[in-house]
Amino acid sequence: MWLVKITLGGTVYRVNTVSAALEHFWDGLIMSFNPLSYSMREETGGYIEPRFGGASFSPELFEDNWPPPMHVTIDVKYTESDEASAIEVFSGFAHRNRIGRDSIDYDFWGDTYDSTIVSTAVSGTLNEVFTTYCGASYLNLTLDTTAARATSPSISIPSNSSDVPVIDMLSKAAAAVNHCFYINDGTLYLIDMLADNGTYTYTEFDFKPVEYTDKQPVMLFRSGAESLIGSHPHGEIKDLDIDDYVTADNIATHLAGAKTILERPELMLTVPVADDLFSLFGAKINWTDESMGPEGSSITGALWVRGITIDSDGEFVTLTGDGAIS
Amino acid sequence: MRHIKENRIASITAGSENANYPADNVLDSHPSKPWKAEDGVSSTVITAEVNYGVSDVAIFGTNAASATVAATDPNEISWGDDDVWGTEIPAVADYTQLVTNGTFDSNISGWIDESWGTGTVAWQSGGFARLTRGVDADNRGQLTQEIITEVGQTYNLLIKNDSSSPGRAGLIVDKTFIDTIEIGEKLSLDLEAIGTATEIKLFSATNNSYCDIDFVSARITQDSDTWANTTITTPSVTQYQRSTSEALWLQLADTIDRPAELAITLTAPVGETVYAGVMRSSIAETYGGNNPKYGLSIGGLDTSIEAEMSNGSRYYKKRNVLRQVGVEVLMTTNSAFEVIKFYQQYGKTETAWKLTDLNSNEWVLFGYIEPSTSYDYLGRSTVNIQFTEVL
Repeated sequence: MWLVKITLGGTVYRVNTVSAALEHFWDGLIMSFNPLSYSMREETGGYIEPRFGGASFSPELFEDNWPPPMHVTIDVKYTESDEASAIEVFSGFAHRNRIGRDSIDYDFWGDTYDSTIVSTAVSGTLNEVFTTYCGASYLNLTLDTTAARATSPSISIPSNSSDVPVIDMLSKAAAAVNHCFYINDGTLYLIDMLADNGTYTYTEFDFKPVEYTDKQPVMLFRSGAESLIGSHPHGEIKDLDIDDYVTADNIATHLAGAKTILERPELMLTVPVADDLFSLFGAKINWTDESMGPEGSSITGALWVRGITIDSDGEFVTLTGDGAIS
Repeated sequence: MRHIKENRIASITAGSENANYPADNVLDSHPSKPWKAEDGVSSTVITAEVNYGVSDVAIFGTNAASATVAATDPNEISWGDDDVWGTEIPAVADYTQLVTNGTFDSNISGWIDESWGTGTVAWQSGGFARLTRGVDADNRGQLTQEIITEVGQTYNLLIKNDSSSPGRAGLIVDKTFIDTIEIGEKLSLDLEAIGTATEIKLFSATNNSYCDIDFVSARITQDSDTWANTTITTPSVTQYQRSTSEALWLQLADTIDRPAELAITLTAPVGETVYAGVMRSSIAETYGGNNPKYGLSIGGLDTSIEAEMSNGSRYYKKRNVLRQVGVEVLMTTNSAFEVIKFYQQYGKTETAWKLTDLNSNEWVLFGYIEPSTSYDYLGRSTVNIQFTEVL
């Protein structure tokens, strides 16, 4: 269940999509709730960026603070049992969007990490670069490389003619070497996209009907002087900017990695929200879908989680990412 | 069929309270948002100030298996009991003190010095008005104040001649000598006003001496109440209401027609922390005293979440199922009008209801109603009411 703290007039109000008597009482005054979604910035990796959503609250919440304030602080957690086990999902601001007769709508705003910039040349392993720019002088985040590649790939970025946000630079550098990352509760988690950050097997009791979609075919992958023929004899030519972030002798390796990722189908799996939401990023989810095909047939599916979208009543989450079908 | 329409509980305190679940929670309209006692406390007293009157108390969303209520009048003062006296006048809510500066805290302003001859009046440190008397009654210190009164209304006068005084005091009301007040005496008497203003006059009553008046008070007199300290020890509880809505309904032996203080003792099974979600109290409406015909309909409104999963299985997340009860009542047409009038005035506002069926089963509900009526008989009407409980 969602545990949402809103500060109104100096008082913290605890609300929920359904009333819950835990250590504190969480009043069921949230009428609809889609706090945020996450999606990867680049096709081949990079920053799994939060897109802040919002919530509709019952007017009863504002009984002592009417009219509803324009801007309030908000903290969103999720738990399956008690308050002590709750995971931090989002902490930031809610900005009033609409005052309706039946509900008060707020949009959420969080830290976008756009405020720190860099223009100097950057080089070192990916882990070293992230260690530097997660430091207190830049993003001021704790770095977790548990799920990063065992041998961290080298990065080489020439100096920029103009400043760029650190988060942009890190996103593109990670994507160039087939990594992605997300930020949660003050920690940046770096993930190797060619490995499994844990595996899960779901049954058809666990997810809603799946739609299986493929990406546009690519016949040739190119970056700098390197190119790689795709698995399909037709399709587009995909130009990647890997060469801007690694030395020439490493381009071919990462181009192959990009080909692996980009030739996978794009899948979506909708499951009930659970408190392991963030640990699913980079994980491989396997399932057998017997609802597909003729009688007696099935699809064996797999999905590496790169994005999540929480539905409007906060009950289900759609996991998106590159996958496999057989 | 009993109905608590307006909640008359003005304020509430609990003998034990979890700071995260304050007693005030029982005054909102959510049975699922409870007051809780501190962990492990299975029985405690909730004190409710009722600002108008009370005949019934309803409690919803509670794990209490039994409850008692003791009603007292917070404004009733046992003036004749020395134990309640002190150097200060007891604070009494709602009963206005009519005397200005009756405690002489720092002066004797508000009083008129009407001393005779060599008699004097002066303020004395410690909060006294000192009335000094010379050789006889023609030379006495004397203070007067006129209070606003209502003809025929009885007022209680309190006057104290401090024990440190060497002499007696005297009291005259409306130019009639009433009594002397001995050294250290606290005089209490009820007087019926004969005019819209009543003059209180105090004087020193011992020759060549003085008296120190500690305080003078005048208030409307509270009648003695037969209902004070009424205790109901048998709540109206049946398995029907407890199995679903966890409710208790207490009906006092006497209807209290004025402000009252209720001491409601809730007791949960041993080992459980007692809690309650909603509490309502007032003088209940009875709508002609009629109860439902034989055969109620009962159902539920499920607020749970359902979805179809990939293999056609059903995802179900249980939330709350709200009880819905439908009844048909034959009542006087006047009562039927009252039900419809309530619906017009309050709409779907949640209120407390108790139904008793022909098998004497009691149904205690907190929710809203949707009534309809047909005037089928001369002077009597059939009223259909759909009750829906709330969270």
